[in-house]
Amino acid sequence: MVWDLLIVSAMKYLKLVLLFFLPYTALPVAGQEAIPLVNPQGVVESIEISGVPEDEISQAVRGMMQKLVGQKLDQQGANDLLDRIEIELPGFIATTRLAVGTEPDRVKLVFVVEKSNEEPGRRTNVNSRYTVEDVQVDGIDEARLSKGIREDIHKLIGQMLNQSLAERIHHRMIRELRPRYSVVKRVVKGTRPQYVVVVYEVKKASWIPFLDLSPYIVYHSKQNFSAAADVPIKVGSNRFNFGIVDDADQLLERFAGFRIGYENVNVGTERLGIGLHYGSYHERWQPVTTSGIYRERRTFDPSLTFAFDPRLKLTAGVSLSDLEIQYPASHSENSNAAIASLTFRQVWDSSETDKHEIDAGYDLRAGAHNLDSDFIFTRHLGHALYAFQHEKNKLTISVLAGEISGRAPLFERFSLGNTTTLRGWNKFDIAPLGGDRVIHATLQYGFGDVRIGTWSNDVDQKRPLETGFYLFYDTGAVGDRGGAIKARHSVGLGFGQESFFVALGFPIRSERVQPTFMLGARF
Amino acid sequence: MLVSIATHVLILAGQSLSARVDRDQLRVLAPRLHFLVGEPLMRLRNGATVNYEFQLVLRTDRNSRPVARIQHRFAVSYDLWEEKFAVTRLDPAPRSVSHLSTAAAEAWCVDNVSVSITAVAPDQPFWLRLDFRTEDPNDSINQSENMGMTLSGLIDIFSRRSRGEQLRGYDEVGPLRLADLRRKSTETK
Repeated sequence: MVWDLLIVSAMKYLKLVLLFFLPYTALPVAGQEAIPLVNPQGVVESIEISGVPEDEISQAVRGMMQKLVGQKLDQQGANDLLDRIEIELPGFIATTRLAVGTEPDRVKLVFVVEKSNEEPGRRTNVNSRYTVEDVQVDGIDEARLSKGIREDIHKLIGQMLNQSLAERIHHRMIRELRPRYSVVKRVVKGTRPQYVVVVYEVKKASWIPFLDLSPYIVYHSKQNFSAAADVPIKVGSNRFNFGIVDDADQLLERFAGFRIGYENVNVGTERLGIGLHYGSYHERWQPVTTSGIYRERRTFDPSLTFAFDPRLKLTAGVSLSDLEIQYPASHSENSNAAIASLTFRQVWDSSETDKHEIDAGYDLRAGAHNLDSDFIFTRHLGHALYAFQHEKNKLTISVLAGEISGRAPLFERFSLGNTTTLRGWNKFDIAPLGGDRVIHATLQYGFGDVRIGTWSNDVDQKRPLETGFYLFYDTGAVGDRGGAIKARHSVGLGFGQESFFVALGFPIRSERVQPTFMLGARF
Repeated sequence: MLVSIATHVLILAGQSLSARVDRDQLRVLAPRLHFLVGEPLMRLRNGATVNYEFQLVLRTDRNSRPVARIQHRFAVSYDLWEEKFAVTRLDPAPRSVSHLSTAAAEAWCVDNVSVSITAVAPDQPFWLRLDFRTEDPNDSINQSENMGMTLSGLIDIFSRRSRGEQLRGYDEVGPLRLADLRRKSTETK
């Protein structure tokens, strides 16, 4: 209890300390530009028109321009004149240019009128007036790109810079070359004045990502809050992290403590990575979980990861855990297991509006005598997810199945009934000691940005109230070999997006149906 | 993520904002508020457009509800040949200026954000706060389709993974009184 309080307090204070100090680490370097060249508040000493002969602008507008001379720069007045120039000269873009005056408090006001190839309302990049001298694709042979992209690239050359086409090419290259490559677009000066070169830099993507340690906070109305936060420090392909966690969602136990880790995702080659993770946790249990419980758990997980390609990875290592068992007498036991996992993940677009995602994996954990383990077991777990997104509609189907043979510690045993499985059920009502067999499936349909009403903000402006909704159906069973394993079902609805959700789950049963409320955010 | 935020969030330590009355509008000067820096500046020098959102809020007390608020969006680009900035105010009324130095471009954006003075009485003390943030390139596409602030938009803002290019900051000043600002304005003239 004391330890939990300390952890929770430490999390609060760490957050406060970080919030207080972190902004100051990013204060701008003083004196990045010592003296402003132009005083935007200065008095206008002269007016000029650039880009078109003066007589192409009406006498009336030119007269109004002259009235600005001798006055403090009236930006609104200048803006009104720009509107009038653009009305008189369709197809041209008019801007004001300020130049240094003869005195520090004086400015010269230049009305610059230029032809633009950008559509009205999208004239947002000044380089659109330059001609594209060349388009370079660095990092790969251009012949590897599809014919469509190569044709679009050639359309850019010799024309005024078409920002939207250049951006479309960028996105198409990203789609074609991922996951092996990333693409960065740059525009640089050409070899001739008024010419630019568009450069697409293609770089090999990281084959092995760092472990996802995103902070999260979730709430389950029958299991209370769970949260974790890490501070990662990345140095090249290395990452160190220190984090704190207090979680009752993932396992049968509430574990609270700290974790530290080191990862290198490029050990001589981008295909090989190593990870060293250590966690020390204090455990709390529900009264219904009566046997096999332990008070403390310390775990060290060294592992090696090999990437066949950025989508398919194999991880192997060991997981060494020291448990302080409470009953029948206080003593220590080891749960040391060899671990291996094979994961596959791919996201791709089949059209402008359709997106697919596959995420699948198989995990093996085996506690063995030769690892000095007191728990001898073999644990298999397979999972697969397929998601199809069409515009704002998303259909997700996922399944998982697992089996344990032998005697495994409680943190290895399977459970269902949290914020991600059998939503609506409480895992302690299903199997308070977990199970050595599990199967689970989810069908979820989401639809986005539905207008559900309006709200008034603090200055009484009416705003639309919109959000993405989803409906889900979960089914699964968990229990021990030889015992009765009952399939359970739940349905529910929620709103939010991938990283934030509020949901209500209803267990389907003949007894009293009590919904479960869940919410959470993964940052 | 926290480290990422730390390197890209800008908050000024003290008051450097000053206000002036311009007809029926309150305008501000923020000489210490630099937003053409860091990752956004690098993108600008690579020929990209970077969109900024500014918000000016007027309160009668530092922590009270706003009595007036205005939001403006600006698209900034960097002229690769002339090595000067161009700025377009995207809304409420599109307006452009070019050939600006870094400081002048920053000043032009700030000068083009104003809030109406009709919300406060001449002797009513008030506070002004100016916030800015860079927009994600995808935000600008989405916002052109949906200009209103939506719940899903808010959820996305608060739940998305941090992006390296995000830069935000603010400055504030107060308590001020319109009568004092008008007097100062008259003395300057």
